[in-house]
Parts: sequence; structure tokens; C-alpha cells
Amino acid sequence: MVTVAIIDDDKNTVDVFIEYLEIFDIKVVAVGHNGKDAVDIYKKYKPDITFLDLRMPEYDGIYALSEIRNLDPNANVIIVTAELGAKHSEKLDSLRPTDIFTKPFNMEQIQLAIKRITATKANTSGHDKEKKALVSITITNALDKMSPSATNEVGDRLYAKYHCYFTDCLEHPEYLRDILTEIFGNGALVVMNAIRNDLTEFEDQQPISNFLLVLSK
Amino acid sequence: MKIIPKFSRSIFVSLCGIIAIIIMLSNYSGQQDAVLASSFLNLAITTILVITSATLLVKYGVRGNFGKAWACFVSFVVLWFVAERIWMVFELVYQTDPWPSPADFFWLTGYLLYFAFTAFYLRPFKDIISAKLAVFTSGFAIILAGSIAYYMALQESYLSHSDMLLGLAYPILDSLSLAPIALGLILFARGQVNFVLACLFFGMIGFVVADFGFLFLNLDDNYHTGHAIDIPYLWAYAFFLFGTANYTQIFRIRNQENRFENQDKFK
Repeated sequence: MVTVAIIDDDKNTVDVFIEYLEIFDIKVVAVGHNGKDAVDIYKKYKPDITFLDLRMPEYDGIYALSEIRNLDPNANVIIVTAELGAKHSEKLDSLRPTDIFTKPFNMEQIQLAIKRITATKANTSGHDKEKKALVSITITNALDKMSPSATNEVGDRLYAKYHCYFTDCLEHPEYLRDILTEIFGNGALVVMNAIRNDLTEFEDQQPISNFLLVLSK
Repeated sequence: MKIIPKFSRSIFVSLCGIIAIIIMLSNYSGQQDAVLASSFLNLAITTILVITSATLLVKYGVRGNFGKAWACFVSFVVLWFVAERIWMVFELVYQTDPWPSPADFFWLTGYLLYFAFTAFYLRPFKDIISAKLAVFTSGFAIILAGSIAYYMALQESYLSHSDMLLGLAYPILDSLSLAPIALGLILFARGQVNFVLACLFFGMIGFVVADFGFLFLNLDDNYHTGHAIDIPYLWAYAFFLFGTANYTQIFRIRNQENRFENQDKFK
């Protein structure tokens, strides 16, 4: 099932949109009415697609897209707007929205976009699994050099504290960084450097770029 | 530090207090009582230390740098334990002067294993040990060792040159042992593993004081087992014991149902 979040300050538009999406078995996991809601919803639900209105009071769509890109450079965010000025257009270019639709909604267009994203997701899931395994094995190897019990300890703590595995560290490198620092203090830098150096040898860096970036901080 | 429960801290402080009180009271009671008190306190603490450090080896095995490090640490502790028992037998059973004796061979060999332990432990972290940090920590240890050697060289004694050198070897080696530990303390600042290094650091300072005091008192043949200078010596072992006991808590065995995912499904 595809999960969707809708962010729009016009409540009537949102209601109609939800009804339409649910006909196609698309689950709307959350609804927000400003850019700040959008960021919080993304953090909490990680929806497959976020429909984001561009013009909203206080925190607008540009703010939300920028924050979501910081959280996840590969997030699927579709901008929905009544009109697109040159000023917004320039900003949007740098933030790489997945698509831009103009109001009123063209439901056929939206359906096609959702199909495209779903298909891409299905194609990349095997690829992601490989990357996750790669990250996981690299972490295991780096820790095993210290001691297998260090590997066990870090793995156990990741599970106990964040309910996550080494494979999940590709998406949440900050959890790994936290656990390593908790045990080894400043020495954690060495383990993170070793993991990063091993991973930089691989050609396709795009899916692991965020992971590498967080370990470098 | 979060990893040390208040309860453990109270036990440690109580243990140090009990050691000091027993040694002081036994000295008040007489030299023979002081010998017995110090010998049996030493036996009790070092026996528990051997058991605790052996537990670490069981948990780590000998794989990886930490495994090898703890194998060296256990060997070091066992050698010193043997040395302590030789001293005890010479003194209590044979009723002869235990210094110098074959015990010195075990103590001095123990230092080599202690240095091997620190080398293996710090090896995975060598990339962040800067030249400045290495010079700072070794400079601190060398200055301390040099000051002790210089001070003792100025003293007059009935001791032969060889005995003087043997006696001097201990505080000097203790001082040099502080260098890798100080390095570790800086490297692991704020991490939980730092606590064992802090305990080893303070323990080694206890040995520096006690071994220096032993040699100084021996210059005029004023040392006897159970002398008040044995208090920092026994405290040093207590620090080692407390550090290793807490280390076993860091890498504790958790509920097996919460095992992290292994990589089998990717193979």
C-alpha cells in the first residue's frame, strides 16, 4: 500500500483529495496545514509521497521542502500550487521536487505520478536491500576488528535503544553514531572513519551519501 | 558516570576505607598482625581481581584487538597474583625476607604484558593519536619516572647497586605505565569504556606511590609488610578490581530475544 501525506491550508481541498485517493487504495497517513506540520509529519510517518501546497501562511511549501530534503534527499514530494511565480520556480529548482502540479487537480495526472513513484519504489527496493546489506556488513567488519563482542554490544544497544538493526543504519546513521559515542567517546570517530573509508570504495555513492554525510559530521 | 551505580561507588569507597582502617589498626596492634592483615587483604583482593579479569577473557575470547588486549591483561594480573603469593609464602611460611626473590621475575614480566594490553587496546584507535598527544602523555610519564630516578640516585643506602636498581625499576615502570593509560583517557573522553582506564590510571598512581615508598623505606630497612605505605598499594589493586568489574557491565550479556539481526539472510 502506498502511504501519502497531504499538506494544504485549504481544508475543503484536503477533504476532497483524501476521498479521491482512498478510492484508489492509497492510504493518507496524515494531514497538515502548514510547512511546519509537513516537516513533523514527514519525520513521524515517512510517507511514500507528500503532496505539498506551495503557498501557506507562516511556514510555506519552500520551507517544508527544504527541511524534508535535509532529512531525506530522496523523499518523494509533489508540489501542488495555484500559480508558480519565477521567484518560487528558481527556489524549487534547487530543492528538486518530485513533480509540480497546478490547481485545480487533474486526477489523471496525479494517478500517473503515483503509479510512476510506486513502480520506481518496487524497482529500487532490491537495490536498497543490497545497499543496506553492504552498510550492515561494513559496520560488522569494522567492529569485529575490535572484537566480536563489541559488534554484539553495539548491535544490542541499537536494538534496545532505537529498535533498529545494522541494516537500518543506512537510513538512521545518527543512531549508530550515538551508540558508538556512548561506548567509546571520542574514540567513536575512528570506527566511523573506518566504516566511511570502506564504503567510499564502492562506485554507486548516491544511495549511501546521506549515511556517509552523517558519519562525517 | 551513568554506567556506575551509586551502590557500586559506595562499595568501592567502603572497601578503600576498610583497607585503610584494617592496616592502621593492625599496625597499632603490632608488626606481626600488620603482616598478616596486609597479606590476607592482598590475597582476598587479588583473588577477586583474577576472577573478574578472567570473566572478561571468557566474554571476549581472544579474537579482535580487544580479545588480545584482555588476554594480555589477564596474564598480567595472574603473573602479579603469582608474585604476591610467592612473597606471601616467603614471608609467612619460610619466614625469610621476601625481597628480592623470584617474585620479582613475575612482577617485572607482568609489566611487559601490561604494556601489550594497552598496545592492543589502543591499536584500533591509532589513527587519531596525534604526535602531539603521544609526546604529551609520554613526556608526562618520562618526567615522573626521571624525577623518581634522580631523587633516589641522591640517596645513600645500605642496599647493593643491583637491589637499588631492582627497587627503582618498580616506580619507574609504574610511572611509564601511566603514559598509554593517559592516552586512552583522552581518546575515550565521555565514553563508558573510559571508566576502566580511569581506574587503571589511579591504580597505577597508587603503585607509583607505594613502590616509591617501599624503596624509600627500604633504604634504611624500615619497610615491613603491612606498613602504612601498603594502603595505596592495596587501593591500587582495588582500583583495578573496580575498573574491570565495571567493564564487564558495559559489555554485559543481554536478553537473547533482543539479539540484533544477523546477516545470514543476505548471504
